[in-house]
Amino acid sequence: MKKWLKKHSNFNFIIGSVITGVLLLTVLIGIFATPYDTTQMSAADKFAKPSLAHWMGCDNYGRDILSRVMEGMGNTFLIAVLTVLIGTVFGVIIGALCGYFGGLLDDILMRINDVLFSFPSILLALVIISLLGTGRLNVTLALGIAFIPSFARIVRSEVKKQCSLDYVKSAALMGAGHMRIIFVHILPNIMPVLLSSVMIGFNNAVLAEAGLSYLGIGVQPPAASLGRMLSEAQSFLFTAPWYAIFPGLVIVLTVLGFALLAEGTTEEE
Amino acid sequence: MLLSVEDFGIEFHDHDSPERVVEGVSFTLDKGEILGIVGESGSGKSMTALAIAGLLPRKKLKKEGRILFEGEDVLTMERHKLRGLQGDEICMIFQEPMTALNPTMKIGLQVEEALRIHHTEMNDAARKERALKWLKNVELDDPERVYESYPHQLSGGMRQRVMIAAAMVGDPQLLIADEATTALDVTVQAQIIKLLQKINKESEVAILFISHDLSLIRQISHNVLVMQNGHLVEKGAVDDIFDNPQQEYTKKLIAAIPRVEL
Amino acid sequence: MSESLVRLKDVEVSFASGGIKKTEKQVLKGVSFDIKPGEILGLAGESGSGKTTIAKVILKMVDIKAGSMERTTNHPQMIFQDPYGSLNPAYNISWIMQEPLRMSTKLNAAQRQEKVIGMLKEVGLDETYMERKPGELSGGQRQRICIGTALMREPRLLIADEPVSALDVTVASQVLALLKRLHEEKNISILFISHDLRTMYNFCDRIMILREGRIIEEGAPKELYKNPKEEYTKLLLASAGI
Repeated sequence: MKKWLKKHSNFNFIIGSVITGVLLLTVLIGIFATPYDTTQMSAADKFAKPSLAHWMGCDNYGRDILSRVMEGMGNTFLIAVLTVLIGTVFGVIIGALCGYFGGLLDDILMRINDVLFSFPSILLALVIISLLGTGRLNVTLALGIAFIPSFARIVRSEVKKQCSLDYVKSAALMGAGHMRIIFVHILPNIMPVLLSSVMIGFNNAVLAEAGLSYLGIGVQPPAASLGRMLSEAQSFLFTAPWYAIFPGLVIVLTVLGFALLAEGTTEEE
Repeated sequence: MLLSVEDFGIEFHDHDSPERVVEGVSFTLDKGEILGIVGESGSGKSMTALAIAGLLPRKKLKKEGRILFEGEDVLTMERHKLRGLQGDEICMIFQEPMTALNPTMKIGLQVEEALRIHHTEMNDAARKERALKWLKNVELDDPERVYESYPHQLSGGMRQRVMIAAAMVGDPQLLIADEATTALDVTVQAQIIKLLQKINKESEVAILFISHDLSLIRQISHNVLVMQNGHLVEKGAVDDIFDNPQQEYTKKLIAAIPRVEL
Repeated sequence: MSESLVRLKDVEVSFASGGIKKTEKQVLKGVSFDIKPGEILGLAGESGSGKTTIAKVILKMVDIKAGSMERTTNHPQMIFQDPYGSLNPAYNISWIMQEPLRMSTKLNAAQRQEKVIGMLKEVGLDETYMERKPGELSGGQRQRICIGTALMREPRLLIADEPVSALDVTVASQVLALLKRLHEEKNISILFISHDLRTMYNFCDRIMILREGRIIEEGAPKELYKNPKEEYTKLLLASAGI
């Protein structure tokens, strides 16, 4: 661990982990307590400017924006993590099988993959949502499915690369079966590549979730999500600019923090 | 005397503690001489070769001593002057003929490259004539066809011949061959060795032949340097080194050549 | 069949090559030979001669188009040329060397570790290597680990595909000496695939010369090197300076 930390102690990694760490801490606190109730409305506080009482001001219903950002971040992060999880698990399975066995299975799955890959993932998610209906679970599922092709493709090419190395033949000679070779022998060796694509994938998921919620088909009101808040805020951009600025800033910081972290972990000394 | 290396050393500074890879190496190379450098991995033989060719990176590296090429120090030479030497007076061929040629460029253009850089006074026709002459000199069948080919259309041995032609086209004084035959089949290897010997005789180019293979070094060299862990262990005429080695390490190396007594 | 470990009879192998227009390239054109128990059989040839394909035929890693391959030994093992690619970089030596035991025996972890320590000693290393990863070892050390791993299943046949060509000369001679010692102690047959006729001369009991998918000549080293019949054999010998 010490060695690992030393190896990654570069500028990108440090800044990235500070930003991401602060955001994650905020989310964690938000699960247990927020400064105000996230749905509590108050006519007196309508469009209250940022102040000591309301750090990020209030929205058109007088709800505390900081509290809603904290909840929204939680929702957005949860959806993004689950999305990446679905994409990674299925992407790894499909990609690994295709890369290892090749042949007809590879041809068929990869052609399907190519077709899916040719849609922007948000468009693909829209199609799936129109079939499943809206809601947090369906959005997660839709985004997850939309993320499978890119992971499958990365894993496939990495597995193919590993297969040309002699240790894979050597494992077969030891008596290891195909599944053991793929998941025990090969998989640990593609982890570095997989890890950095998971991090980039997380960023894309955050943006995709924000996009879907902005379009009104993600998280449903009164629950908060960063994209949803941006969408609501745009009508009041001139009367209450802070309503849009703070959720937007959080999205930017999230993506920036993770991008730096991903850059930092892959960077060699 | 063409080349004189005096108390040359390299120290890497890219890790926490500096690492010495070459130390106190001195030797000379005359015009038209074939000098073999033999050593195992980590001996510093390739580093020395790169230094002579002026190809060592300028950062994170401390260089000591002098490398005098025709009386001028390659290590401290100004960049533009060094560039004038590289590819014109000092040429280098590498181990991998597969990657040393640009796959998207025709052979002819790649062979002419040195002329285009260093002999701008030549016109297209003269350049082509010179390139074809060298493709013929390296004993490629049908040089005209090779001139118009792409690297992937040639075998490994042919590519290495093309590399030699590209290096020799500007009539250099010094040809550095770093493990230039290692990746080739034995029969092809033997042909390339003969070719290098022929070129050495005909155009009086000095050759620095670097290899881990003692039997090749013995075949081609006039004089030999034995290197180990960045130090020069022994130097001398090829027969002295092989018939009467003085140092333990040289003896060990020679003993490791499999004997074939019929 | 009783006397041979492996018997190849008129084996032909083709590979499909090219993209849309598939063409077949025949790499083995009728190869027949036996590997006898306890012998070191040399297979000499240049790149493209089909050396490695023969190894794959014996290991059942390629399909035979015509002819037959029979073997009386169940799990021949192989040592590869590149010691950097043939050990899994993600695991330590102990894990790698235990893997064959995990697959073929019911030994528990402690028993497996004991066997690994024993094998490390046999290949000239010791238990301090257990926790190290392949990336921390030199080429010669890795090749010793490869040999040890291959021997864990107690094979009767070891296929060594250019096992020392990537190593420094002094290291190469040590690894060869190790192979020879293990061959004598354990009575393992070795199929020694190489392009280096010098090395083969002292190492092999019998040498076959392979050219473009055919075995053109074979014999005991001394006999073969003294009186080569084929022009190609003569050329190979001359190129090696013999």
